[in-house]
Amino acid sequence: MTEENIEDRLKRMIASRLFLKIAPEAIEDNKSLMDDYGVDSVSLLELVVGIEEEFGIVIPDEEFSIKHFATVAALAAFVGSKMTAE
Amino acid sequence: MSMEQSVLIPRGRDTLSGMLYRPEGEIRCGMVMCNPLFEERKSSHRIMVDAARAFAANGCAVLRFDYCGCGDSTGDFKDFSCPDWREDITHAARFMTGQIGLNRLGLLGLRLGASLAFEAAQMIESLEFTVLWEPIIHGRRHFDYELRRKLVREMVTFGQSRVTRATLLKDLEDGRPIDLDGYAVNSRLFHDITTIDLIKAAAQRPRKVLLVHIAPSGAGPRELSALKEASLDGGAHIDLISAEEDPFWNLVGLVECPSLIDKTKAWINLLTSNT
Repeated sequence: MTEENIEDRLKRMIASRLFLKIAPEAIEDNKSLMDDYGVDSVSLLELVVGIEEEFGIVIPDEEFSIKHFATVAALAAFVGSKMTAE
Repeated sequence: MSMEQSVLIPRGRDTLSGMLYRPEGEIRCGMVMCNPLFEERKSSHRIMVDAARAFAANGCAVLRFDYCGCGDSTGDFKDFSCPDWREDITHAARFMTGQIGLNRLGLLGLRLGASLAFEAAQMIESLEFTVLWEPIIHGRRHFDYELRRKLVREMVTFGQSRVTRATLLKDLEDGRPIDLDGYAVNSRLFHDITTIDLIKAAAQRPRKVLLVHIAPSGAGPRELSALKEASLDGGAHIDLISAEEDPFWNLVGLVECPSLIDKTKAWINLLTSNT
């Protein structure tokens, strides 16, 4: 699976699971999830749970770092690396 | 329209603070609303008030109240736990029965408040029905979720979570309270929440139950279906419905839940007009 696929899946999840009033394709890869799309701490946890379910990975507590969740591009790279590792 | 009156309910050395919503015309039933805990209590306040007013306008007298150590009721949060709050519900129910002069009483709970209501139901003899809005079925899973929420908050504030669930659980194990949403959770409360298991409890619980799944998609999760099955096995009359609403207990700002309130009202109407 390519990172591009991961990004599309992430965008779909972000739009639906976080109740954003925005189409998945309108989410830009490098825009801030928090500053530009209003994702807050509650939404971020929904995102963590959603990613674990969707991609079958576990995000350990030690890796709760904002750099992984800053943008769709960063998140896709992080998810891709976890999938490769597992 | 309804009359709204602030009330104080004696409860041993403590006093429960509440708000009573009395219908203008005939009272068809009474209902005690059981709040969720922690941050969810604050986020859900507006919807609980909206719901109380809507039910009262529909002929159902409603009591909203704060548990001991919460909101405007007396006591310190750290001194109370789930058994105390279940006891609070029974005091509120007794008070409500006296106020409306009817034995036709129900409980309505949200999230952990629904779990407490489900467990308290068997302690209230005159109880006719229980409404559970998105109850916490497994306390252990819920507490784990709350711990992760704390980690995410730290991540947002500090860039990186400074603790792990393992260190937080170790603190509780060693008798050190941990902070959740500004509430000091001690090992007793941790134990009482994590031992909540509504599936196990279902066999001995209330007979008439409305179980409401609240989510934008409207799809019922397996957990609530499992609770329904377990309750049916125990001989209960239980209805499971979905209300397509946002999870208002997690949201900040103005939220409305017309579908949730209307569907609940319709179920109560049907119940109280059939018997």
